[in-house]
Amino acid sequence: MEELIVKALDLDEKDALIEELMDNYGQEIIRLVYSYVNNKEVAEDLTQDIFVKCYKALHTYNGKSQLKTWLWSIAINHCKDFLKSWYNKNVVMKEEIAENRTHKGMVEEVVIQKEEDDQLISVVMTLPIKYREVIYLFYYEDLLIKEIAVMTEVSVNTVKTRLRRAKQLLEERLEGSKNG
Amino acid sequence: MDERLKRLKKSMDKSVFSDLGFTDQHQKAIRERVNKEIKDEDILLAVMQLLVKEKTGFELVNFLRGRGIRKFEENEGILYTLLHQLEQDSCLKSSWNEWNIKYYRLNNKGRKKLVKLEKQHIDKKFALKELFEG
Repeated sequence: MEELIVKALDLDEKDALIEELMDNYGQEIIRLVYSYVNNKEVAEDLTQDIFVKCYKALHTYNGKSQLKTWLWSIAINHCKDFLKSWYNKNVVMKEEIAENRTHKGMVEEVVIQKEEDDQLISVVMTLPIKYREVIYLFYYEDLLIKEIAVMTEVSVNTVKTRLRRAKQLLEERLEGSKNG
Repeated sequence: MDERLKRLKKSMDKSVFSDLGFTDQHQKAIRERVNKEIKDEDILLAVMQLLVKEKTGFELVNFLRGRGIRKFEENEGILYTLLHQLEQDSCLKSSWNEWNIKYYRLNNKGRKKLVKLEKQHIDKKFALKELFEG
């Protein structure tokens, strides 16, 4: 009988852990995912995949990094795999291009209000992934360069270089849109 | 540039993120998928722990239900595939009683394998515990 209880706790513990992760980080993860895929429905689907993947991979967590960092790495890899996938290249992107022209609010707002902030967002969202992710993680999530390096699996120096380059790109593009 | 970027969070929250949420429905969907996919590894461990003492397939399904593993209720075939696999790996000893009911039980090799699996499992458990307490 004892063995039964021990084992039952085990499964419950994992369930409890995944619940806790969802409560604490669900909102942040879906936004993070959106920053990669720029599409609400895709962001919702991928977020679900990520938590299921995380549950299945719980035993591979070695405690070396923070649990949050570990979860973020899974999420980031999942997003990048998706962006590289056949499905994304052939199905989503095409809709995306058509949809993006009239993308709810976003583009229109920029046109109508010409608000600096909105303009910045739309330029950030069109940056190549490696630049967009560092901007997002550093400025939106307020993470340390060290943490970003672990999450994106590159060196600290690479993160710094990309941040610098990303800001240059943003300046150029914002400047360009002002003159054009 | 830096000044503008510092406002990125506020402006994203107000615009692109305003109708993007991680909802109860999302959580529910994840929970359902997780339940369906309770890891094979967990099931294997449970089956082996239960077979330290001799049991029939039927008893095994009942005990597994007691542990929250319902995967076999609708499809007992999967359980017998698993048992067959364990037999192939020579971890199980099976025998028939006088009413032709098959009984399964771990043999020496099976018990050794179980100890190994349990150890891995305990390591994992402690790692997880530390996360929340530490």
